[in-house]
Amino acid sequence: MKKLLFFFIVGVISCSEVRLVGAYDEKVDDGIQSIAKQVSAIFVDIDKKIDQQKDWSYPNYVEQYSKIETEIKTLRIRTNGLSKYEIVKGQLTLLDSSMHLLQRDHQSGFVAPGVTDVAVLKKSIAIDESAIAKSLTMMLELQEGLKRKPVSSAKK
Amino acid sequence: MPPRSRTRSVATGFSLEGIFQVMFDAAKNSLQQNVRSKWPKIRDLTTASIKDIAQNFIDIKELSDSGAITQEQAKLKISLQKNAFQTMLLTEKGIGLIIVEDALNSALNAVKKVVNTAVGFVLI
Repeated sequence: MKKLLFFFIVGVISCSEVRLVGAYDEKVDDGIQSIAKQVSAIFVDIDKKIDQQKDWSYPNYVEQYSKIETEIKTLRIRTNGLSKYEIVKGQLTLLDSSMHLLQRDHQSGFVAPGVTDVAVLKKSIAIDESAIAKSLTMMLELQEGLKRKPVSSAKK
Repeated sequence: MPPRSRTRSVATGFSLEGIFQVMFDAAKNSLQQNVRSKWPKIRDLTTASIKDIAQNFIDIKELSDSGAITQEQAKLKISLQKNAFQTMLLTEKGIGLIIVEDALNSALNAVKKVVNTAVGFVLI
């Protein structure tokens, strides 16, 4: 009985360590940080342009949105090749959806036609910004948690 | 012939009870440590996020009721809040799994030491 227990334990432990979530990947972390910077840049620019009464309409930001979309797609492709990355993949899918929603709101002008009150416009934009900033903060928080494992153990 | 000493096995840790205790203590210590160090930060961040999201829902309703935003814009904004909330839940799930994973690995590492001590050389 004791021998059986011994071999069972040796067998179990020899199966190396338990992994429930994938290892930290620096490129994914950097990618999310880069997206966070670009999204912030859009909101800061829109805010400045509203104050300066310049054109903050959607067509002026198509290129920036497109760059962010490309980065999200690249990250989704990268995470598809990483094992046990379902949680991060889920977050990227949600971020992609959020960026599309933001673009649609931007295209619509953020407020109802005819509304000219700057305070109302800024409040409407702030609601979107707050939601996306929360998403990105939470994604980066998970990346911090994943740092428990060496980068080299990530499946590239 | 006297019965084999159970105390000796427990003393070296190589008995079912001994191994269980070593693994249980290691897992418990790991969980306690992680809950103390990792969880408060996530809890605070989550609480603040939920408050902000709740406030955003109120603001969306106000803007919609006053006609400042269209129904379509209100729907877009609500979907954005839902996405933020789901992202937050996924982070909580991930951190929770990392904490459990640490506990399991601590238990396995602890029993490794017991086995190696019992056989007298580095077996695993």
